[in-house]
Amino acid sequence: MVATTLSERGRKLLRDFPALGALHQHDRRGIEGLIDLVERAAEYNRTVALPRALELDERMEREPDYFDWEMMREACKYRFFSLAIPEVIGGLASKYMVTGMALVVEELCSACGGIGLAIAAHSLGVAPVIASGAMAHWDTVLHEIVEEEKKGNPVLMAYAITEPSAGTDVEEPEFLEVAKIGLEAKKVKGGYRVNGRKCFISGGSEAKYITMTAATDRSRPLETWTTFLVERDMEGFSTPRVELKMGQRACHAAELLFEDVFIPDSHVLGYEGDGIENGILIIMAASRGPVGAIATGIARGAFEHFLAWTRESANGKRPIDEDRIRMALADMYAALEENRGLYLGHSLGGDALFRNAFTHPIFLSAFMIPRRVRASKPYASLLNSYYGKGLVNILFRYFIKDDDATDMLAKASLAKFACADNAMALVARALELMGATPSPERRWVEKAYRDVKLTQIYEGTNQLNRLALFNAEIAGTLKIEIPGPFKKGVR
Amino acid sequence: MKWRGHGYMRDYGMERLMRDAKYCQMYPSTSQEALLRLLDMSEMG
Amino acid sequence: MARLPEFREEQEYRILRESAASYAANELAPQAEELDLEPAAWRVKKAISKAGELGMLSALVPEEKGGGGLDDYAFCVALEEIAVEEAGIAVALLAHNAALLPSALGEFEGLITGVGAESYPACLAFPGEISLRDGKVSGKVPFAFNAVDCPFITLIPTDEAGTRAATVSADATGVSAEPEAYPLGLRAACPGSLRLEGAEPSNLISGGNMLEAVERALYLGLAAVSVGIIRNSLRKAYAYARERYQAGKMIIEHQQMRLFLAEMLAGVEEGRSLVREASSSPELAPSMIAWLRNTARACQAATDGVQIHGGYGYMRDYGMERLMRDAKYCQMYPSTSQEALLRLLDMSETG
Repeated sequence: MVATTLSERGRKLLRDFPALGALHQHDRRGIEGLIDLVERAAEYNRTVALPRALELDERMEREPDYFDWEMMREACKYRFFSLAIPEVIGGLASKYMVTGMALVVEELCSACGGIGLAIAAHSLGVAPVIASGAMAHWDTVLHEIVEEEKKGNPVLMAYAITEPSAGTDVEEPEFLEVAKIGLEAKKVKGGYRVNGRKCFISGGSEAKYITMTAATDRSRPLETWTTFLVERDMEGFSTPRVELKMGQRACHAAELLFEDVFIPDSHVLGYEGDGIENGILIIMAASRGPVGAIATGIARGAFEHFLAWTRESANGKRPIDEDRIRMALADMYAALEENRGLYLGHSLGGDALFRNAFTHPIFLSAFMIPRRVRASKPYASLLNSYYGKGLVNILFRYFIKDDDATDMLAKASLAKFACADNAMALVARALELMGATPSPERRWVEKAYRDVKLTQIYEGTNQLNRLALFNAEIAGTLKIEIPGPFKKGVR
Repeated sequence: MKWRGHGYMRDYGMERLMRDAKYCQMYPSTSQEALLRLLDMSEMG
Repeated sequence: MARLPEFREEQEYRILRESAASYAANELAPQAEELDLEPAAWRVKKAISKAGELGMLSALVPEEKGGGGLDDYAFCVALEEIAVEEAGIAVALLAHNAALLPSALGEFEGLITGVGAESYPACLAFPGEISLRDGKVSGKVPFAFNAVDCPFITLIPTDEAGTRAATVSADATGVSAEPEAYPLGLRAACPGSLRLEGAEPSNLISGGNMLEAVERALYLGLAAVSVGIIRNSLRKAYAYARERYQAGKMIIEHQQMRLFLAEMLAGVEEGRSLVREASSSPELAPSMIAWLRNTARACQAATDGVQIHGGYGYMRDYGMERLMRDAKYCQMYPSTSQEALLRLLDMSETG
């Protein structure tokens, strides 16, 4: 292999993340792929995110319904909507899918937490289509996203879990069992009738496709929790309102309304009733680390603006010349370093767990069948059939072991709450130290203060994530048991 | 530990304050127990 | 609602507490969201005007000079009650009264001349570098409340050891005010910056240490406002915790959430004691200590309040996230907390 010359940013990245530096010795190509992703994100920040972040944030307080499609069209050039889509479909997800996601969102969120979330929420929407092994939709939905992205049209996805009367409850088996569920997908001939609401869905009002978890029997949510693929133009589906959030406004939090929406059987991802494992826990095991990276990115952005402020001179004095400010800068740097260690540790582990699903020859061989065939109806019905799903399931069960997945959930939950708490404390302290300074940097830090709070709340509140770590790692009472092939999940 | 290394040495009496203060915090109840009782009392009243 | 431990205070303060609370509940609570989202000058002025009945439009000016004649503690009691509904209005009233403070202290008959009954909310241009030369004031004030659309501005020239105060009409030549581009919180108190270039004062007032007096008022007042914010956080979070089901029981039954609420409860008690103590002392230090502790408590209480609300806390409709933003500004003005701490030690060494 020809040795490539690393850019300044690339070398810096390997110094900032020593684990990546070490991996680079063994896998130049893979790690340089990650460097390339981060460089794209930095370029996007410079040209798209930073110039509009403040204005967009302020505008969306006055016009909560406004959405900046331009920033999403621009994001197509950088292929940010293919980050979680496997290479065999034309996407960018390789053996470092989770790590790549995390590094990109840290970079994007260092410019604007809202724009970073808008981009990340799409990949979260894609994830259940991958994790459930619903290959019937890979060559249609995911392929469409990739192809449209090349033309500069963002085709977006979102992931819908939260319900108005149940937020945290729907992210943890123990709580789901007793959750107050309002939305129900009732089994009818050929599919399901859905009635009810989902709320606070990031990107839900812009998404063309929405992956959704829901109960097929409201009185037994845990046993009947199921993952569905919803299409925006399904009859009876609407997004009646978006919230006015304190921060991360560039990405809408939308309410989804289902009025007698018919979802065909083909749009069940995985099996009916396996939603808690394949729809929630496996996804969270992959996504909570990157949420830690969102928090880290917002905090890093605040740190950089704070640092710039400390170098400004007021009356001939610079804050950075004061001892106490230097101590604070060191503390903040340490918090960022700690965060990066946590989320990178998780995401590299996550990649070790999931990489076979993207790179194993057995898996890849399925894609030697011509795409024309793979995208055809009969092939889709084969994959959606009882035996089709069973075969895919055997593959996934072979790649992803229960214990590994459980450990990964614990690490992901740890990274999520610890990064978010560190980030919140860092930003709050930066403002406390700046005071009512006339510096323009303060406005960026104030925005970060509003943005960062959400990271302690979404993807399960930090309290729930603590509990997940406790249950999965310390007490050992939470175990992911991915349902085996040809049968429904049993617990 | 304001006096750097000296704070750790018995001669200066600083380390004793640290030990004593910790016991004051641990008795007659833990701080969390006290907080929980505080809220209980406020709800009963 | 959880009952707060009885806070012992005299009858007169209790009566004031009740009337301030009813003003806040009737005049401010219904429009708390508008006061944050669209704090137009007319709206703020209208909301503040009704505080006159409490004596809050000239609270610290003695009655014999035509003022409201409240003592420092009474002033804090009223601020706390008002801040329970709208911290922005409480801070607007605080800044206004601090701007009138020199007329209470100075060798001066009655209220400041040219200040009529409609002259509110006034701006206290502090802190900043202000010079008084040849009878004209110049200087810059990077951050002050009621900075725009105020009738007059009170300044304490820094070049004369703070023993004199000047008031300048807001429309005098040489006065320019710029609203904060996008304030985080306390929006009803209209934060902004001021620039004075040879503006002619309408009054010059001398006597006493004006600088320390207004500083003390700001620290003490913000400490009281912070108690109001903690109370509001506790009230909102407690009510939500009682009605919201989560993980098999109501949130109020979850131990970790109870700890958050208990911390708020303790914070109110501690905060009030500090304010009470500080308002009985003429010194600056106790007020600074009250401010340091109470603002930190308020920031924590509001942040925990949002957490208890989960996703709803982050949305404007529930009015919880506003408290987080308001509390933070209380902590960032009139100095940073570290600056206050360092000064405390300095003062204790020189005192």
